[in-house]
Amino acid sequence: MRTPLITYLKQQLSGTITVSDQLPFEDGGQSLYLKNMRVIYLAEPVITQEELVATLDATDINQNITRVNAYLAVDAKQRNADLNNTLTVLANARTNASITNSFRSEFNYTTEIVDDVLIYSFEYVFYTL
Amino acid sequence: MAYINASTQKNRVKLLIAVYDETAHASLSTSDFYSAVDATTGAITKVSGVLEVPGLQDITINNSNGSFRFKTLDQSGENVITTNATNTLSGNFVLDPTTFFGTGSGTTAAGVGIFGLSNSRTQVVFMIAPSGATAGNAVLMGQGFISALAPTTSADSPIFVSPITVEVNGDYTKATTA
Repeated sequence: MRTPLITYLKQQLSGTITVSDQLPFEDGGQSLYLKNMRVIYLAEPVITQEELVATLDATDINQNITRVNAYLAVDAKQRNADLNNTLTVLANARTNASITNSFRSEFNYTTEIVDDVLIYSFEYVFYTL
Repeated sequence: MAYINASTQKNRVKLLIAVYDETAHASLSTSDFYSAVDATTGAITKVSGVLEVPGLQDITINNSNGSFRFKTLDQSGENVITTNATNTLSGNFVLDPTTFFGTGSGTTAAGVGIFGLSNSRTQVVFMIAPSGATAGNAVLMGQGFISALAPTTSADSPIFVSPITVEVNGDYTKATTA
C-alpha cells in the first residue's frame, strides 16, 4: 500500500512540496518531517485483521485493514503556495493510487501547530479481503 | 442442563443436500449423505454428488404446527387441535461460487449447485446436523425444495450473502449418528 501511494504522489507533486521514499524516523531526537519541512513522509503500513462475516463453519470471512500514516510539516506563519493542491493530491491518492484490491478506502488528516510549524498527520485506511 | 453445542470444531452445524431419488431415498438414512466422519475435526466424507452448504451464517429449523380452535357452550376456554405442520429450514449463507453455481459436472446437487436446484425446482433430500455428525449426535433429514434465494451485496459489503429456505415436503426424520 505504501509504495503505490509514494509512486502516485511523486507523479502528482511537482511544486515546493515533495514526497520522500524514507520512513519518518527520528534523527537526533527530531522527526525527519520536522527537520525537512515541505517533504511528505509515509510510515510503514500497519495491518490488522478483523472478522467481516461470521459463519457457523470454520470459514469466517476476514478483512485486512491497512493503515498508512503520513506526515508533512509546513510554515505556520506563511501559508505554502501549493498547499491546497497538495492536500487535494493527497486526498485523491486514496482512490487514484494503483491499489486495485481494496473494496473500501478512507483518508483523513489532523493538524497541529507546534511553535511556528504546522504539522499535518494524514491517515490512509484500505480494506481488503 | 445440557445443551446442543454448535461451537467447537467437530460440533459445527452441517447442512447437506442431495437430489431426491424416489428409489434410493424411500427411507432416508445418514448413509445417503456421508460415509465417514472424522471424530476429532468433525469433517465428513460426503457421498458422491452430495452438496454441503458452506458459509452458513445462521440456521433456523421451523416445525410450526397448524391449529384448529373451536368453542363449546359448556367450557369457558377454547379447545384446540393441531393440524399439519409447516416445516422449513431457513438461514443465510455466504455465496461460494462452486457450491452456488455447481461444478458443472452431472445432474447431482454438487454438479448443478444451489442455484441450479432452486432454478429448476428440483426436489432434494437434506440432512441438518445441529451439533455436527460425530457419533451420538441427533440429525434431522427430510425432502424438500430450495427457495428464497436472494443473493445480495452492497457498496459496503465486498461479498455476496443470501438467504436460503428449504421448504420441507412432509415430516422431518430424526436419526442418531453412528
